[in-house]
Amino acid sequence: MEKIIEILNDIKPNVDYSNEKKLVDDEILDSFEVVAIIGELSEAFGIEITVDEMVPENFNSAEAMETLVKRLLEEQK
Amino acid sequence: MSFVSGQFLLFVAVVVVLFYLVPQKYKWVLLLVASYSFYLFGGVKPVIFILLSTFSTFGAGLMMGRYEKKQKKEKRRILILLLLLNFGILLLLKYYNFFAENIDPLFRTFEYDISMPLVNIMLPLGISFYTFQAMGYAIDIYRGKYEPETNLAHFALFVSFFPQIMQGPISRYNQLAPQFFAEHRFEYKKVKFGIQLMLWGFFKKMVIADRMAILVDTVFPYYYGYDGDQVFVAMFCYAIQIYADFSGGIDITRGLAGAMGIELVQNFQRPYFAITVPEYWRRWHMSLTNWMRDYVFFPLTLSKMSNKLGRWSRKKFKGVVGRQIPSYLPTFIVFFLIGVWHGASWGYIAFGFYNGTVIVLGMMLKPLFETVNKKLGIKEGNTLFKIWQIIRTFLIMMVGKTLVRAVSVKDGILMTLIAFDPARWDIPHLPWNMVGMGLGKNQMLVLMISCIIFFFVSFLQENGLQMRETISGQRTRVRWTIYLLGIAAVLIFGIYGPGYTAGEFIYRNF
Repeated sequence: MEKIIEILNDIKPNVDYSNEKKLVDDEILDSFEVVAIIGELSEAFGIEITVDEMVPENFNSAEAMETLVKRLLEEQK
Repeated sequence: MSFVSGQFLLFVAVVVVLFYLVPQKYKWVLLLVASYSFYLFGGVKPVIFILLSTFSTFGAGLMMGRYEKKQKKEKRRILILLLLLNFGILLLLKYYNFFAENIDPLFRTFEYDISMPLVNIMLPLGISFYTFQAMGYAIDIYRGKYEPETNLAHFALFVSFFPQIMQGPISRYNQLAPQFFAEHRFEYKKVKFGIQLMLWGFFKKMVIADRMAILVDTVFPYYYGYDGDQVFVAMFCYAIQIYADFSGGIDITRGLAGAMGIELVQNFQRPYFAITVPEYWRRWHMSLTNWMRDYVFFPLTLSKMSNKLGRWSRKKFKGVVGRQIPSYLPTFIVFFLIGVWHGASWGYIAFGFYNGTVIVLGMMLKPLFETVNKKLGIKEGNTLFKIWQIIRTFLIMMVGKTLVRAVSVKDGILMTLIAFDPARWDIPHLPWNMVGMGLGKNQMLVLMISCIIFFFVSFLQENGLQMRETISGQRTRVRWTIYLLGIAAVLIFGIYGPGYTAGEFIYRNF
């Protein structure tokens, strides 16, 4: 989780990632930032995030991103 | 059948009344019959194309549905064939002549004469809208987002739903289709809100956009004979005209569907209040930009090649630029497609390239802008700074739209140079000179008052006010004064063409 929040803060600082639950729905993160986050997550965790995962629910909070990363780590073992 | 004609209003009135009279289980059948009747008003031949798209997409959906979510290879073959067929038809009908006109001179420079004949093709009504809507459905099925529709007639209604066939919005299957089959009981509030939204749409279209059109059509072809400030005013008016025209049409569409209890997706969110160009595109023609984001931008930026590029760029360029590089090319591709989606012309290609360049440059220079703002002591959220950002974004988009509307791209550039050349401005005489721009003094006054109302309403909405809810909360006398003023404004100040039909919608041609 810490790593994810570090990535998020690096890409877009000054957001309360621990509590924010609508990062995409409330347009706190735009498409360019989501793509940048995916690039960093893929590299940091060695996972492949495909276009099928591109639903707001997967990126609306740091927690949702953690769930996504964990699931993909499991699936792509 | 135009949206702004007596014929259309009569058709709508009959459909809405029947919609609430027929039993629940036949409501969708009525909508299907109404949709195809509406479509047939435009001729029999275009129906062949919409049927072809409907049958092919429905069939492909069923075929893809037979495979498991992970059997991508098999599904991909079907999807590619379907996309080739449907986008092939669109390309052929919409872009063939442009291609032929431009390829001939190219070959002639190499002393080949291929003489591609130009063909007189009548573009089927709403082809760009229904093709994108149907292909969105097919890609969702390919991705396993939901199960394919198994009833051909149900699917045909999704593709042809008449309120949105002419100019969108481009709906998603899982958002729109379930509403056709949900229970719809008559609710006074829904019908009232629907009619109010339609009235607001007619006001924007007939009182503002069609009046602006007179001024724009007068100045744009002969801009060289006008002062810089007059050209600026014409460019400004065109930006307002196209917004009032398109968003007015969408209000009529959404109001009509809303009167039947069907909520269509938002297509505009007051785009001229955006503070950056990317934000403008999140507020303008949202159903198209969201389509491009989901079905073009994300697949391109998340492709294997893009991943490789991203790994390389993050190593090579530290910080923001390194992370952004994989988005640059997809951004250009998306805006090129958005440009040519509107039509086949160099103006639209230039418009796409212009937007792509502005957005990519904005992304690259963002750190620099932030440093400058910091040094100047400008804080984020500062009201004056925000107003400047809104004006700046509006001016950038105004220039972009001029490139498309001008006689040629070159004329668009020249117009921009004249409009932004202070030496060619003659402000003291502008009030008198404006009367010579196609509209008389009284017409100009009507236009200005209408625009102030338009701006005021938009400003209130931007600050969270729900207009229709607020009006509903007023006393009967106040409410009916507003309604009657609205109807009177459209009837008295609306611009009517021959036979009392208003001007055609700009987006109907796309």
